[in-house]
Amino acid sequence: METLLAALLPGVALGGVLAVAGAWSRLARGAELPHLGVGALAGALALVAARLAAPPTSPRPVTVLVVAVAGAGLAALLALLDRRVRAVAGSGSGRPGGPPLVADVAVLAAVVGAVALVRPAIAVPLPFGPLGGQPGAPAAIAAALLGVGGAVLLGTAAVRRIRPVLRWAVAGALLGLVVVPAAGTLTPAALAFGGIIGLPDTAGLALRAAAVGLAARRDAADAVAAGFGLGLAESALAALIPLGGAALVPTVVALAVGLVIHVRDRGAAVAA
Amino acid sequence: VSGGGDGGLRWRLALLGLAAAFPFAAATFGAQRRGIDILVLVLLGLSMTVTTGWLRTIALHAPASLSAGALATSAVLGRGQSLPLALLTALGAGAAVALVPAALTRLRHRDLLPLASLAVTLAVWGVVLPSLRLTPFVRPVVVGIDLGSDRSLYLFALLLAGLGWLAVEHLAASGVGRRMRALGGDPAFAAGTGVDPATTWFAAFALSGTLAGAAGVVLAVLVQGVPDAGTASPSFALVVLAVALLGGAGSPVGALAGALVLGLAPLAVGTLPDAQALLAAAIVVVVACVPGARGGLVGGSAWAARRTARLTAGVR
Repeated sequence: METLLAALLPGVALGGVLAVAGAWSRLARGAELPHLGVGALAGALALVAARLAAPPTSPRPVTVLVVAVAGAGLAALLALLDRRVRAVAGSGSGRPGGPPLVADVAVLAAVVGAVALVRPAIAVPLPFGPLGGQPGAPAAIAAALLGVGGAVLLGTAAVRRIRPVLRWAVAGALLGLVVVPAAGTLTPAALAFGGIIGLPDTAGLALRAAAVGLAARRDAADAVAAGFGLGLAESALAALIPLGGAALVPTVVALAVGLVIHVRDRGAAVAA
Repeated sequence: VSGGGDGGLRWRLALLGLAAAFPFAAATFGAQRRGIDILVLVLLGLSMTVTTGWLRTIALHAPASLSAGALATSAVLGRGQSLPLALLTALGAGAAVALVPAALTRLRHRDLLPLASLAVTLAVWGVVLPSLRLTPFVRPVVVGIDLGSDRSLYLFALLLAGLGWLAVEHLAASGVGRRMRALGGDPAFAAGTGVDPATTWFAAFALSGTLAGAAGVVLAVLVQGVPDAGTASPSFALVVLAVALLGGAGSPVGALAGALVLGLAPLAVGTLPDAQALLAAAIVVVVACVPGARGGLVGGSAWAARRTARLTAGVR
């Protein structure tokens, strides 16, 4: 039983991250579809946190603060990029048959580029999940609680009313606060892995957040449920079937089912 | 450059001669490997020319089709079968994978294609590839040519890229290509002029997947198995998109220009581990933000030529 609970801890932490990222992806486009790119910021912030926390003597509160501020700043820049691309491409209307998600792809590309820029040579893919690190029990619980709080906050009318750039900055800061414990960067031992740090799966995190955004059709509670459902299912499968790619099956299924339901609902709306 | 006639033919023959002479002039291991990587990018760029350039949508399935082609090649060659059979299987596998996002979204919901195609790429990269264990194989001999050396493999890749280029150029000028571009421009108008939207839509994706599958054959023979996860990942889809956008989506010449720049990027910025990804991200962002950058290098050079001609006419 204890082994199973220990195996689920990364899923609890990932659930917190996905709850915030999914709620943000739902909020970001202001339309029926989730934003494809914003969830990738979790990967960039996890890498920043790992770099800051890599020296054993680095103060953890400073890491948390810097990552939250970096999250806010990067998210504000992404909001400006998103607005600019939408203005140029006329995308984001969400209407059936409209232009492709150019702004979403540009935001995703910008985050992938930022990760390529800040990635140190000591950052390599490790089997520690999409955030590149593994949290201990207290950190995982902290990430889960912060994730629930962040998703609920993003679902409030007060946040929805503020200007988009500020709204994205708030979401980015919340994501940063959740990512630091979830990526295991609060525990120095989690990073002492032969002098290397884990490389987050940036594009994979974006797709996980989009899957949560597709499932979260009504409110923040949906995002929380979908985020934790996906995180726990992924960690349970990774523990039960460690070889092969079973861990990503829930995300792929969630995306496929979400897309099919979305297309069906659009058809029903047009018919009505 | 893209025009026909004797000038166009001479230009193509000169380019082909240069490309064929490359592995003899640059005999080092690294240079020939880089040449093969660039030819793989050319095939992937041609694949995107059809979907991004002609259909005017963003489909990011190329890494998935490439992986499917590589898996099929490994499976067939691992059983001791011939390369032509492996090639046919790989082209079919690449096309089949490309049809999945096309069928999920259909033309009516093509705005969902980036999400659907990335989901398919994630499924192949994250679920299918790690789950399969295929037997490694020795590089095959095809029509008496041993692909055991990188030089002969480069020439084989050049043959595939050349055939792919010819196919795309021929289709661009044919009724099929015109129907695809018409569908990308205005689906309702295209349907009104007798274009069958569903058939044209699926044909474009099948062609795109076939070209990416051919790239998978080259990579599988190069590594004598399934290529590493890097060329199958969702992030690599952005590199392929950048190849098409840099040269000018819709232009085979643009795909070549984009492949050359992105293929040589790691040499130019060698100290960064992800120089190619960084450059690709910058290209996607700039093309998305700047209306004048939509034409890419080819469109930009055509614009510059028109501008120069106008200025010259003004001086006269």
